[in-house]
Amino acid sequence: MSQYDEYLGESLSALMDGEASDLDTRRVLKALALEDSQNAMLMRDKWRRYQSVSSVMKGDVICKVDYSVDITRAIAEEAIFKVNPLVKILSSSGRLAIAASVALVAVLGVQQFNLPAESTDQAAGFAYIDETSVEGLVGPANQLPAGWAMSEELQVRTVSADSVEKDIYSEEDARAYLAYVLAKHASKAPYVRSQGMLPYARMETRTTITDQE
Amino acid sequence: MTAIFVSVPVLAQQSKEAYELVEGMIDASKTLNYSGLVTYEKAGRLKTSKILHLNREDGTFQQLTHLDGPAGQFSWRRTSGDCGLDTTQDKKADLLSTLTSSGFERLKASYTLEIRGQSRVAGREATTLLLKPKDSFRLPYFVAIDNQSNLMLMSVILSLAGKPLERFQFVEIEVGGDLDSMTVGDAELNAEVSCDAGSKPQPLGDWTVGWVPPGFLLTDSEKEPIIGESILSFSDGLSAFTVFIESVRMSKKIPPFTFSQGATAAVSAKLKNEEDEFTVSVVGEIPADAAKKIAQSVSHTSKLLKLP
Repeated sequence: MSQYDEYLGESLSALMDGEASDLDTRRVLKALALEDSQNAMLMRDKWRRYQSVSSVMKGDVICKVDYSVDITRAIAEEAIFKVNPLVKILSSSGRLAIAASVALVAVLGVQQFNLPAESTDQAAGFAYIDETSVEGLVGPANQLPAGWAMSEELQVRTVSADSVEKDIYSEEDARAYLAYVLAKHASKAPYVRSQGMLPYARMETRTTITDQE
Repeated sequence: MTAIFVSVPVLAQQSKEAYELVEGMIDASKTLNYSGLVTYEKAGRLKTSKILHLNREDGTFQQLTHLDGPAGQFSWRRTSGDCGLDTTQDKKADLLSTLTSSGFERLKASYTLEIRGQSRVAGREATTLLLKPKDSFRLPYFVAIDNQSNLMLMSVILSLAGKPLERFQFVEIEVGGDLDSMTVGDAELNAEVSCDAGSKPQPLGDWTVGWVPPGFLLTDSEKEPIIGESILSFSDGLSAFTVFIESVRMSKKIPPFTFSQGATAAVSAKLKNEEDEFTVSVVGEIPADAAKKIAQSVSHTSKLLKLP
């Protein structure tokens, strides 16, 4: 038995006892990854033996059927659901290329509408800075931008009382969708000629939406 | 009494000047070649970009290069005029036109124009102008127009209470000169917008937007056949908003939300049609209340038919 095998045995034993370090776990998983190798088979046998001994000691029933192969196959055959529909949208039409390439991440600021009336001549001053916008500046790029809020009152309307379902939404999808609609809108608005290239200026670089996956 | 007699013609004169100024600005953006450095500012953040705008016989070429943050350059060429926007003779002109001659009439119907004085932007003398909405469904604009070229040098979108929400401003601009003879390679293009059938408004299909603020007309619509997303764009000649109606499958992923940043508001709401739940999102440079009202007015055409 090589030094490595010895370490492997110890790691497996530690894993069995729930005392494995990260290194132990990684070593075992690495050995098991080579499914057909002799080491992997030995390890699987050893693991099964350890489990049997443990079961006997606890007075549990020993299971002799090995489900692992079937489980592995089942997992491999399982359809992949985690595909962001936005990516599909973006890749499905050439005309959306702009939106895809300039996915907007406008990560700053909250607009407030109930501001006290003041002279419009302030326009020469700086664009309004909201107190909370600093959070947007320092927050990680993958969080929802400031100014975003789930709306309760708009959640479901014209819905019959018996079918209210509370869907669980992923923040990632919400963020990708928001970026998508903002970019798409910005790419359409330039048709309004008076604004010239202003709507384009609203776009912000972000390699692609898929990078956020 | 004398004051009244004096002020009425003065105001009329001023308003006429303001209209001429805006018309001149529209013409300038269609005919002049210009490039320059611009700043775009909102919510306490400043972004700088370089802009190139060339009008050629075969279309308009536009390029925007980001000078800070992540590097990026975007180029567009719009061929054959303005994709229907200038084709006022077109049968669908009433639906399509934005800020063309007829679009300008709409702008006048929705905003009052007021000259505010003289200013200096990007080292050039400019006239400032306030476009004040006549209702609370759109936002006021404060713009500066170059006295020499008529190009828009600054545009500030204000909240209904008059607070600046975002500002777009040239810091340096070059008009004409070498730009008139400059050639542009196709390799630089990110997107080509042409006026093929695909860019013409499509039938709205199953959905109808029940209410839009007065003066807003449909400028573009498309339906994504694979995922069933409908997109409708509206403009009043100055402001614009886009309505997205997502398929049932897609809607499961999208929470209802409200979002506002700078002058842009986005509202996403759920809409139930029989057993299916759809998502309606409205995004635009309009007040959030208006966006909400628009989102809530969207309905399935089958519902309309059932009405007595």
